[in-house]
Amino acid sequence: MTWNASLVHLRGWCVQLARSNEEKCVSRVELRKMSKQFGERTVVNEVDLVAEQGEVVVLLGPSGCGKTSTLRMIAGLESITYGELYFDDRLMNAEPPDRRSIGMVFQNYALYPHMSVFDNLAFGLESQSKTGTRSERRKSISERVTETAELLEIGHLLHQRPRQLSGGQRQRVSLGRALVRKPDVFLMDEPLSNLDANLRDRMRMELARLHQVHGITTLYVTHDQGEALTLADRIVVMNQGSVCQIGTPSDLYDQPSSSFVANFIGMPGMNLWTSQWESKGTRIQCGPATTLHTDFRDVLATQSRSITIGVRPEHLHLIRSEQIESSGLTAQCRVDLVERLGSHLLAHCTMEAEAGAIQTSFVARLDSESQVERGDYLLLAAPLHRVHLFDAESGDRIEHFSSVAALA
Amino acid sequence: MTQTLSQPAISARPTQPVKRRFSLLRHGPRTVRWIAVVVVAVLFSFPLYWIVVTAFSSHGGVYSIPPNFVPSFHTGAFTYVVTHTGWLHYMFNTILISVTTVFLVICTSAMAGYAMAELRFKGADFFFFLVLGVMMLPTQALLIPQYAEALHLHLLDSYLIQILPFGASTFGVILFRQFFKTLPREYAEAARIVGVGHLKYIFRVALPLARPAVVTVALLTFISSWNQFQWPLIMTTSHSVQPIEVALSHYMQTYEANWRKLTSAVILALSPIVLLFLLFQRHIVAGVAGRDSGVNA
Amino acid sequence: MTITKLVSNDPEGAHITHLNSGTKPPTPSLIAWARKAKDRLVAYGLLFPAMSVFVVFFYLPAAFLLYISFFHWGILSSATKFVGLANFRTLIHQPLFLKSLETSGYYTLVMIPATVMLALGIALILKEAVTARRGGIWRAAVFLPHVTPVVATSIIWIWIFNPQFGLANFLLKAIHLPALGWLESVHWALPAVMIDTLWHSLGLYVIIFLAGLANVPRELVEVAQLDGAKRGRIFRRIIWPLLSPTTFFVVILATVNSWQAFSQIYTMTGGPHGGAGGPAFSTTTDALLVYQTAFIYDHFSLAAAMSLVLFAIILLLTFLQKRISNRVVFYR
Repeated sequence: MTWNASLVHLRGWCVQLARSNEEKCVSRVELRKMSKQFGERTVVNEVDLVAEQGEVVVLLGPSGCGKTSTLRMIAGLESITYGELYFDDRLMNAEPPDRRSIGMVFQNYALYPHMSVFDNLAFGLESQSKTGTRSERRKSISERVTETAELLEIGHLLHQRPRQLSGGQRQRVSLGRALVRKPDVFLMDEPLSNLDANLRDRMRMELARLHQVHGITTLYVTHDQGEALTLADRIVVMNQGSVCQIGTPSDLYDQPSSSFVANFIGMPGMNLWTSQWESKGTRIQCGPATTLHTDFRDVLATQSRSITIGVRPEHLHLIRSEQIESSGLTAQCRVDLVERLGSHLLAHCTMEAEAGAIQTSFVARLDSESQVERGDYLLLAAPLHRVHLFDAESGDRIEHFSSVAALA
Repeated sequence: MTQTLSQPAISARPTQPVKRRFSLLRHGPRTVRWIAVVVVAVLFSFPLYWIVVTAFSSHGGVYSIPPNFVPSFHTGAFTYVVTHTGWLHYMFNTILISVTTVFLVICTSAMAGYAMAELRFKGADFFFFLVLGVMMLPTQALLIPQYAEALHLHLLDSYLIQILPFGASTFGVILFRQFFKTLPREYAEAARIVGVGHLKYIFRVALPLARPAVVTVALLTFISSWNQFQWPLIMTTSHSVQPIEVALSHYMQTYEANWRKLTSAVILALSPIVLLFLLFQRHIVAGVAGRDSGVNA
Repeated sequence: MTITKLVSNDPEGAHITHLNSGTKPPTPSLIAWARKAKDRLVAYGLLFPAMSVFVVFFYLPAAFLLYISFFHWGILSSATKFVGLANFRTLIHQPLFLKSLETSGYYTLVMIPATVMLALGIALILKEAVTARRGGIWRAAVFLPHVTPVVATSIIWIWIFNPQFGLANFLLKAIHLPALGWLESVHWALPAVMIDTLWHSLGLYVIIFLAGLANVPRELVEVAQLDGAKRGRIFRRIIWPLLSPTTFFVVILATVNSWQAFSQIYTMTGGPHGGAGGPAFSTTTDALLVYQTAFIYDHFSLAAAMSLVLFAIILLLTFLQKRISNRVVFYR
């Protein structure tokens, strides 16, 4: 079956299911202050989250941030220490996993090696249907399995064992096993991290297309922001058990709420450097090399003497000295290393720092035609609305800045 | 002679491999040690060989001095034993008892091993020590009270009394526990998510994947059950339920000093076990010695 | 699109200590408890078959043993009367009982070093051979006797030890040694049984030693060889200490098995077909005597008292050996 044909096919499938009076095809997932503690150790700290029906919500963060534990609590594989979990206003805390109507894809697929693909897919269905005679049940199971397999284009592999399949094929079988029960909520725990880079990109596209077809509410865990940015309707950035920010990919990109988020998102991440600021009339001097050409005294008045400035590499460009006054932020630096990546180049530079402070290094993404060599001294600038300010201690975003910038 | 680049001039014969097995007994060349090996093997195999020789020697040949080491083929005694004793019935008893025991042991050990490996529950340690404790109890000392118990439960002289007490094996429980711990926990989690219950998971996923452990437990349990002597001697009196070992003991009285007949009976009693051993020798030894038995054949 | 943002004051989460304060709604604890209880039931249910066998057929008899040792108890009747230590007093005054302890002790004391030395020696001999191609055959030959039923194989040993026609005396005469009475003689009956037992049981211990030897790191021995140490020295100073946990295990196993040996003794000297208990009771071990007292002479409570003594002896031996091992055995 081609993708388009299967699109039509599955859309009909879902519509049919929505009309059936067995189960609704919709599910809104809500987490209220959901937390997980192991003894004294808090692994997940009061997560509040709503995933609307049909959304893809990605839990993103470095390893150990609690994203997998959160997912497992939603699945019912871990108990919820306190807080609540709702599927469509039904409290799910005490429900065992098989009564939550979820499908889950594990990082290492967890396919049973001694069973064929067909048996792997059918394994969970046998306990589901209770009506009809034995052969009727077997027939309907067989139908469902074949249907799902066709959708994922593994129909020709049904009688093989997992060890005979490639990584991508195994992944599809794993997806199939989760989908074959037509769950209300679809959970994925780093499903792509075991694939090599090429395959990962392709599977990412396929997952996105698959979601367009089945439209099941999906919660997806990953540490790879590329996956998050591609697949997510909304992203939940987590760090050390707490939620840092929830928003669409553009929200996270344009308005990161903390320096952690700012640096985590983006390839390479946002440049961040901390320095003392000093107001000099119409300018604010942040360290010997960086100047903000605007008057933000009232914004910064309540801040301590140190702030963290953030600019993304792609928003820095070269200017000539006469353009300084018309720029938002300017910085002088010296080039240490140039990475030429064909479509662009990355200039790794260092800035002169205040006396006694660590030398700040950052990255600028420039046109590949730029004449930049190692050892050059550059003057870089970024427009004000692309400059982010964060509190040097807490890392929180200094809010008014962007609204003022929007005015400017 | 020209030398090609690929052949360095130095080595005329292959150098000693870097890893050498350490050899401890080096009194002389290796052949001496190999002779010792053969001697040991012969010494251990000899009595079994002697059984066969004795069974098939002629009536007078048994008593000849010096004894005949070469087997002859007088099958008179053997055929007599085969046709005139109830050995088939005893064999049936033994097989029935052993097979049932194996089946029971696998089920109970797999279930218990799974519970201890996968499930979290209060008292897990307690049960583990309970299992260990059984291994420490001296078997001989318990025979009297076990007999009393069997008496009061009206289990004496039955198949059940030969099966039930052996229906769980500490070795089996521990082995399965070890093995199930090596299964990735996602297997059980995936099963939980689709609503597959514990029992179904054990018998459809965990046990099939634990095939080496199952084979080991099955073999060792079978052998141990087959070789039971003192237990059925105490617990049974009627021939109808007695296994072949006890039958042999009876034959000793019946055929007193008729060595050809006796050894023929011995052959009948031994063959299944010897056959089993020859077929599955590797698994059996691996089960006894643990994973690292130091051999690779 | 609204931006839902949670800006906590420390995204690093460094200051979280007590979460159970404040206005946090708790999970429904009754349902959670019920769920945990159900999980526990499932676990207990899975454990039940195995555990019930252990308790019913092993732990209960152990408890029962204590009980019936202190009661005079005709096994058929339920009439019991508490006799306290009377059974044990009778025991102490029974010369046969004391002799049986002596016999068991002698048997065990000989078997332990014999087993260890022979098994280790054979393991050393076999060590190279079993790693060769198809080397398993040598190991199989040594191990095969162990899986055979003892009754069956003891029969052939009876024949081998036959004073007139048996192989043993034939071999002795061939090297100009006097023939022995073996199972019919007072002094040689027990050794005959020992030889049978050794043949039957060594296979197991050889395998255990082979595994233990394999775990001795090759490098340690090779370094010593390069340093020019002689093989005896290597053995004494390197292999033997590293092998001590294995040796200890073998000693314990051999002790427990030797003291409790029954089937071969019964077959060769103890049954109705053999001499009951050996000529002059020279092969009446503790275990054999228990059997005879209970099932031939029907003195059950006496036999129970004997069993308790046996139980205590085994535990004591194991305990003592464990104590000694703490000082002697070298654990890595």
